[in-house]
Amino acid sequence: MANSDSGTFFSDAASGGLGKLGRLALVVEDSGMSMAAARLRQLVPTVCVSSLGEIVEALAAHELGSLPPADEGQDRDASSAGLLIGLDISTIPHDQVELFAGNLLYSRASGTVYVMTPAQFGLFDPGLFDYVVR
Amino acid sequence: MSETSKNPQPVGELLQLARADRLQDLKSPSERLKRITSQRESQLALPLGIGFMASPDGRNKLAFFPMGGLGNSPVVVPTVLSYEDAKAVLKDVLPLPETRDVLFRLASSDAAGRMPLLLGGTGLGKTFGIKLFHSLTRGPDAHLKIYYCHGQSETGDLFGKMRPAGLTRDQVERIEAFLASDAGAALRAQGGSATDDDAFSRAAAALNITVQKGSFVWEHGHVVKAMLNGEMLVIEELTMAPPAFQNAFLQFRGKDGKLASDMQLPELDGRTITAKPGFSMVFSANPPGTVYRDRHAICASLRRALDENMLDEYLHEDSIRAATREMFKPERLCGPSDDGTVVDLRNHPELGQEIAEVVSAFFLQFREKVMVSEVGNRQRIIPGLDHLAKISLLVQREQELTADGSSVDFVATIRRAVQLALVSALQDKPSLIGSRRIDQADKENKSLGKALLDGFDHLVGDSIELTEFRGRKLGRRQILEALTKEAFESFLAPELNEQTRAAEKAAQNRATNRKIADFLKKIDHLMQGEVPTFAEEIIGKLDSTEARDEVRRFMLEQQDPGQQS
Repeated sequence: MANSDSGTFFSDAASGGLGKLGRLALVVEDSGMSMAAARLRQLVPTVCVSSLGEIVEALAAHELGSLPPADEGQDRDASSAGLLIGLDISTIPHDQVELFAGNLLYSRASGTVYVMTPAQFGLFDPGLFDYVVR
Repeated sequence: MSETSKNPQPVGELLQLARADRLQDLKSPSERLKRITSQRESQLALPLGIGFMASPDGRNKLAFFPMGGLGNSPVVVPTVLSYEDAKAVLKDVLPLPETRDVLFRLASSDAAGRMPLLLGGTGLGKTFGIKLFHSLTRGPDAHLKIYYCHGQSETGDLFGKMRPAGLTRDQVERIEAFLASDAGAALRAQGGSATDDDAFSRAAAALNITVQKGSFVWEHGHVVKAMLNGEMLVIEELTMAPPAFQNAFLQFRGKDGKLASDMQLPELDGRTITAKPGFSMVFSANPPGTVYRDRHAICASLRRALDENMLDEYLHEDSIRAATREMFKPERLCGPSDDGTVVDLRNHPELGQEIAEVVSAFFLQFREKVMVSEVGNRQRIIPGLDHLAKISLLVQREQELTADGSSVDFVATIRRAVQLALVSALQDKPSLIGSRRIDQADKENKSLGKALLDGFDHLVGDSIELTEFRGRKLGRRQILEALTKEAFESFLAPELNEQTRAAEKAAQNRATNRKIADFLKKIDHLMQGEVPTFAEEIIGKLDSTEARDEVRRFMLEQQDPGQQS
């Protein structure tokens, strides 16, 4: 999928234009080199996490409104409204992602965009995601 | 009243409402018709086969009609809404037969004081139907608790459990919401065999909420709260919960199979909890079977305690088509986006409807392949109305231009929308090193995604069935291109466009008036002259002189030649 697609998509998502937001996946080979991931970081407060504990911390910070806004061009009101949070999980070890993916089946989606590698995406039940951007 | 009387349907519903009002004891047809006529100011029709019955004492009722036409008796339940409020609740609801069916089943159980269980596929509208029924009977602002069962559901969630002391209700709700979110998944994955209390404490710590160690208070569970407040409680995904959890509901089987009005809480010294009027429970689940694996069967005792309703597995094809057409109607489409919309489909209903045909045809192909193919069986994507809504949004707001940039390529636009909303979510590229099994799945799934998109290209191609379009046989792509061209031309000749719309409107009005005339003739015949002014009264309520004259003229045209002479 072209990067411009995801750019427009995340713009809509960040402004709430997509209505009921659930859980989204941005599947990229290398999040550091991906234009789509860079665009996401511009629009949505995005945190790189390297363990499950850091996912909890990031989501708690998002819940408490203490997460710094996105890189640039981000409307502060949109970020503070808690519409979306980006979590770059591409560096979390496979075994932890597998455990997380299993438990995610029992969770309610709440406006989270996961940046992950194709290999990690294979560990998730695809029905967990409302949108998948490649 | 004036609005509904323009339409012939309300009068037909009045005849049915008579049954709901138990007028069967009136033997003479004329007595019954006079009674109905005298009551018509207070009995009005709503969409989805619902009748509204106003009462002078303010105790309004809703009559839910089953599928299958006018011959069946409705079920009547009380409502707190006025007619206008009920109409507002139903304003944006798609008129699908599945929704009507769910509403009728819920009303039947509600009227009998029993607990309904809706068993059916994902995306069928079970939860939507329950929420709609709740809004219709108790008002859109009334509190509705929905509990989602899962593999670790425990009876403490239902009846109550000890919680760390010193927390406000708001704090407990925040911690529970946090635990129910993705953060809870990370906490549970992190903790391995951590207990529920551990997870609660760790969630509280993450949210900077201090928990007093060693001091506990009792927190009522969802069932007890619903009983004490006289509210409806919805238990979703019942078959996901372990049997011990399911069997906890057995104690709510009261006399004659009705919902029990009280229960004992052994954890609170056997205290009896008595339900306030209005307490009810509704269950829903996917049926255990081949499609929905990892589900627990419901034990026979509990099934006896519930009104079991086996619904369809998927939305019917006709419903999918109808829903897609509705979503692409001007009044339902979302607004344009500044940088993605070239042709605002709200101004081009014919183009919107043609796109809807393509989208629904592909959707049905997708559903069939994903749900029944050997490869697709591993997919857990259950395509539903949410996906269709996303596609309509994308087609309206992210349009692809033609190669020369001079127009919109709607085939490419739809293709990309269905790819983004449906095909991209297929499980593929799971390139785990060393796993031959997953590599194989990767290949198969890639071919599934490719096959689906090939199917789309075939669908819009000119090699399959051609459709009649303004006197010519054309492929779907050609029709879309012709309508897109017209959309562009309409910018240049707005007054011509206005004339076309006016002509279409006039034709629609004529068709409606003809239906009214036809209907009034039937009523006239049924009354056998008992209420000679009935038809004229209805005609008098039409909104324009032209409409009234036209209906009278149509009625005369339809006179039986023998009668005329």
